[in-house]
Amino acid sequence: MNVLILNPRKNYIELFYYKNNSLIVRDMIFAGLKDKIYKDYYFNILNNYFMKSELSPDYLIIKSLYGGDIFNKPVLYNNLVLKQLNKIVNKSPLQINLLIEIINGCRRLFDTVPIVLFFETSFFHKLPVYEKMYAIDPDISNNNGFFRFGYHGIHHEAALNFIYDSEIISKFNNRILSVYLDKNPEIVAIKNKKPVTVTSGATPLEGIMGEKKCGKLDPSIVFILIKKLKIGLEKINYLLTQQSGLYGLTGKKISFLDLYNLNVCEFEQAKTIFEYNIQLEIGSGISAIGGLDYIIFSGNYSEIGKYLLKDLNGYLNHINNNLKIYFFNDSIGDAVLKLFNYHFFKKKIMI
Amino acid sequence: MNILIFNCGSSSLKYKMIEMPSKKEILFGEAQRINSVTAESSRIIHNNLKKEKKIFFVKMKSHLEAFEEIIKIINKENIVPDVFGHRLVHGGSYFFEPVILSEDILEKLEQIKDLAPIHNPPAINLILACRKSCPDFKQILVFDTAFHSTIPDYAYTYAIPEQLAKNLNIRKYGFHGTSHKYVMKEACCYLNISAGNINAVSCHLGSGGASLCAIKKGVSVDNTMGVSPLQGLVMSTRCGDIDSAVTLNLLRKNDQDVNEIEKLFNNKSGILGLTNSSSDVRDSIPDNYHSSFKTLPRSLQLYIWRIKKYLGAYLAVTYPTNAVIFTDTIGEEIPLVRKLICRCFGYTGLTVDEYKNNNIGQYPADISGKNSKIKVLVIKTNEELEIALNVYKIMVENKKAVK
Repeated sequence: MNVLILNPRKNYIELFYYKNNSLIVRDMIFAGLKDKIYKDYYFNILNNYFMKSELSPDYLIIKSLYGGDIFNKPVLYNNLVLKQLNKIVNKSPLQINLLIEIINGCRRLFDTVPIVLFFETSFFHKLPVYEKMYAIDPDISNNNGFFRFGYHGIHHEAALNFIYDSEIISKFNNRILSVYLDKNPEIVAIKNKKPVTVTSGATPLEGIMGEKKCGKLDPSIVFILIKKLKIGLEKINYLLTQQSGLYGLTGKKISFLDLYNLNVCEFEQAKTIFEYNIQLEIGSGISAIGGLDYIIFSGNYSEIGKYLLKDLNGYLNHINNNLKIYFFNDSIGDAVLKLFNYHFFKKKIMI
Repeated sequence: MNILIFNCGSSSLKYKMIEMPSKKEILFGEAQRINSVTAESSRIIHNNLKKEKKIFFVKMKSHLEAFEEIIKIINKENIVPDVFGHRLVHGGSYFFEPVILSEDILEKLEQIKDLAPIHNPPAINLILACRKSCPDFKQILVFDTAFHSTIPDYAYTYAIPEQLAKNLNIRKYGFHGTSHKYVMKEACCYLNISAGNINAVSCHLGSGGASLCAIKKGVSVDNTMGVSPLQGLVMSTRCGDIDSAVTLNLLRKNDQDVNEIEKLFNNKSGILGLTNSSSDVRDSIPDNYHSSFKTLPRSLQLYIWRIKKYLGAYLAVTYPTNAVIFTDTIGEEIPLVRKLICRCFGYTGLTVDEYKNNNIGQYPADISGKNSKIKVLVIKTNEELEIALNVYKIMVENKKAVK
């Protein structure tokens, strides 16, 4: 079975091609994420790429960051799905328009290949309402879709399946923290296979600081910035999403991996801030699920997980001296493929 | 020395006259539910020299009106204060210790007024009213943020461009410091632990504002509030934590009207925003002590859930924790809230004795379960006494300096 997976990112589309579950091609197709998407823009980009390649997928999977309340599991693309996508386009216009354009491009190129859509937010549709809601007028939240989602559900779900495949999980040891370590880290506390709390918010901006995003802030800071800097909202948005986080603290465009591998003195403060961020969120997540049986680190930087627990060792030992820690280093392509196989064989996606 | 302390909360004005150094309380009271949309009307509960409790139902639309009503009541007691002490919520980057009011100080207060838009303006108005009615009296200001000056840089730094944060003094300041400090000292006495050795989480759950404080070796190492008292827990009218992108989105939809959204988050959110009827969390609390979390009104679920998550975070960073302390109106008076917050922390060894929790005779009260590894204490806060101690100290020092 040949599976082609496309992962649209900000400036490129990440591509994975698997033949009988073995990775054959991993590539990047450069394409800027546009505020306005011109007709045939993505078709032309994809066409240029696939004309030169000899890929013949049996299934084509496209990953989307956002699926709103509607897409709580992977779906096989059809006209009804398109209608549903159009219903949530106003909640995340950039992501959904991009997704629709890529789907259209792919349908023209691979007209007989079934297209399956995976959404990062699906895993979180069972988050409890009191976790999803913000303490503002519910009408405002409902009208604008201001509810907490997670944004790395595919990694968390794949990591969760990995634990369930490796361990005998019962109701006595089902409290799991999934720590996704990448450019924008995210922690989910899971009990009985259901997410109970997640660090990200209505958007990925909230939560743990990222390489460029600020993470959790006092809400007043936005007001202070507008009043004192007298700059517009787009500049504030750029400042918080592109010039903050690790970059804002160090002034250098480095990754979390660099932070640990380079061992530079001037990065020490940023490191302690990041580690403290993580420690608080781990403590918070544990309280949400009433204890802890497993921690699983996933994502491209999963290896730095071992450094993040050093100040919590005493506490973690105290709460469970039989705690199991896993490192799960799958790429997004591997994670999507595993979930695809899982859903495909369990016939959760009717193809 | 008779010190009249004013403690301006977001919807209350507490006052207390304390004789120092004897610490004898001469009279005290509280103007409650000032300008708030609640099920009950505003009132002043006054305890006079003879320890008689009187309730005056008066309409008070602002803290200034409350002050005027309180002065009328005190004047009838024929007792005169020697000095005024004020609790100021936010000292910004100017004030990390108590100060005597002067023109220069007033100017600085004006500059940091917006950092705590619900609290600092009424407190400053109150100070001006005191100065107008008693111009010869010294006024000492004690800042809530002072106790949190020990928060380490890794906890007070936001992940925004470093230079920008420095230029605009954007950092976590922390609040309710006067209360957190007082109950921490009381817990030390009660548990017979020296102040430099206690690790604790103090839960100041007021009728208006609320915050948790992580205390390690007797000093504040973190607080749920931030650069302003808006961050953190769900409060009576404040939303607490919210995604910054939500703020930007709302601003976009409201023609970038910062004041409007700031007002929405500070005055129309929290319990009020969620219930659309009352800003007082007590109005959402069921009478039945055995109510489960699932049956609570949504507003109360959010309120408790947020506290639980922060308590979990702070228990992790204060390990090994000696005590969890509940204080202020909700923390002291509502056993159901304490029960529901504590019930999931069995994994840390923390347990609560249901009977003790539901039958507090006197404060401080130890409501821990029999074998609880962490003490759970309910301590009546006395921010006014903590302020009086600070005021007395500064007055004595000032007197010595003049000599």
